Parts: sequence; structure tokens; C-alpha cells
Amino acid sequence: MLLVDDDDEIRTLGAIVLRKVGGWAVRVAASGAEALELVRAERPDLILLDVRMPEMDGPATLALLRARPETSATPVIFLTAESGAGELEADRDREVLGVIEKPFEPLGLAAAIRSLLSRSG
Amino acid sequence: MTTRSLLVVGDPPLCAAVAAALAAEDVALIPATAAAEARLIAEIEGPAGLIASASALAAEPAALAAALKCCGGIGACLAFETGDEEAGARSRGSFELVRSAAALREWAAQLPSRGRGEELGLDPVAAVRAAYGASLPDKARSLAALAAAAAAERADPERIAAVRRLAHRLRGSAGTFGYREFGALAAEIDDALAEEGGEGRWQVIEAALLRLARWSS
Repeated sequence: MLLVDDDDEIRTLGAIVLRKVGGWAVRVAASGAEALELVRAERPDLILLDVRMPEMDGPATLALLRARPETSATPVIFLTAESGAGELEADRDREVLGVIEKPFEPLGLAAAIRSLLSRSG
Repeated sequence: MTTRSLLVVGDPPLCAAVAAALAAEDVALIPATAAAEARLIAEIEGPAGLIASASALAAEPAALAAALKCCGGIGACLAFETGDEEAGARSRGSFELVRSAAALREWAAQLPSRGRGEELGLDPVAAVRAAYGASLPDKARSLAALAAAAAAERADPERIAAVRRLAHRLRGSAGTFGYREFGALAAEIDDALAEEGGEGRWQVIEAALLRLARWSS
């Protein structure tokens, strides 16, 4: 799994709970550009992608991931601190698996991801 | 048998080479690209050992030496795959120089059955939460300073953007780390400055500044 977030504290906490509670092998990236570089060498089976990041935000990163054959179908879940159902609906239209809102309960993050994965079949 | 965690510092190809070499061993690999990230993970989780590429050691010797201490001083410097054996020999410090996949397996076989984190009963999530809590006054002061500067220069979009960047980050992280009230305050600031124009938003900011003062000490 690849966790992309510009907040180093969220990256650290997220990586720990996803490893310890979820049992995933986790890579982290601090920006969209770093994520795009990382997926050249590795093929994550899931990408957790922050929405609002400086320079290249989550939707822009997602568009570039989708344009690459190797990540065109990789499941992506948005992480967002934005409020408002309208935006969440728009996110669904961008072909993400789902949205997890910040703040989140750290020990429930893995279960939230698994729920979205099971919903997608 | 207990699965031991091993911190691996290097670029993705190096991490893949380590994973291939240790595929049959009972170890869980924690990959880290940057030395600073590795140091933080080592402090919080206390893995059983640390593997670093020669180039990572040459670039960030101090950070990786600090990380090594958190791994009980058990570290390997990888000089295969990358072909930088000479650099590894020069920069390895207390790390054992490992020249082949077979040598890496031998090194891994000698790791203690439990890492320092398990020995000490470390709770990584609690440790990260505690570190966040300790930094909260600094965060509150930073946010207050940016918000006060923006309130003084009301038409400056760059100052407003700077406040919103930090406020948005804190609205997402504070509640996650258990500080929901602080996160809600950051959200008020973020939302107030998201609105186009309107003097009312500065009243929200000034009220928020008063409440931020409580978190600054």
C-alpha cells in the first residue's frame, strides 16, 4: 500500500497503524510527485491519497496515475479534511474507491479501508 | 517463531532486493526512503535491526547512526545491488558491511528474536500521540502568528494562503491525534478564510486568536 500525504505526522501514524493493525506493507510519499516517482519502481495494490497538498493536489496526482498503464486501475482512496458532501460526491466521480475523512480514528483506519475494499467487491 | 521487524533505508530497488534476499526469513520489512523518516520510525517502533544502502549512509550518517541506536546497534550496510562497495566501506561506521544476498541472510539469522520495541513494550501509536501533544503549543503559536499577520494585512492573499495551509493541516491531524477541540478551532479558521471577502471572517479570526492563546502554553 502507498500512503501519500504532505503531513509528516499523519504519514508516520498512518504507516504505523496500517502495518501493525492492517498488516499491510506500507510505503509512504510526501507529495504527488514523490508518489509518481515511487510507483515507477513499485506497484502498490492500493493508494491512500491526500486531497489537498501543495503543488500537486490529490485529484491532479490521481489524473496522472490514471494516465499510466501500470496504475490506471490501481484502487485509490482519498483522504480529506475538507467538509461538505458535494465534494465527496465529486470525488466519487473521479473514480476513487471511496473517501476517508480526517480526522480519523487511528485504530479504525484499517477497518475503514477494508470496508471500502469489500464494498467495491 | 516471532516475526522480527527490520527497518530498510534506501530507494525502492534496494528495498526490493532486500525483500527478495530475505523472502524465506521470518522478518517483516519496514521500508523508508529518507534518513529522517527512518530515524523517526526507529525511535517509535524500535525494530530488531536496520539495513541501509551505502549511499544512504554516505548522505546521512548522523541520522542513520541515531536510528541505529534505536535498533540496538544492529545494522547492516548493503554494498550489493548498488555496486558501491567502496563507498559502503568508507561510510558504514558501526554498520556491518554486507556484500551479497547470502551474507545478508546470514546477518539476519543472527538478529535477536525480539526487537527493542518489543523488549521495552513500546506502544508506537501512543508514542506518536505523545510527540504530537508535546508539539501542540508550538503548533498553536505558529498558527496564531500566521493568523495575526493575515488579520493585520487583510487583503494579502499570500498571507491568507499561508494561514489556510497550516490550519487545514491541523484540522486534519489534531483530531486524529486525540485533540478534537484544537482541530475544530483550526477548522473554523480554515473555513473562515475560505470564504470570499467579508469582514465577518476577521471577527472569527480574532475570536480564534483569543482561544488559540490557551493552547500556546
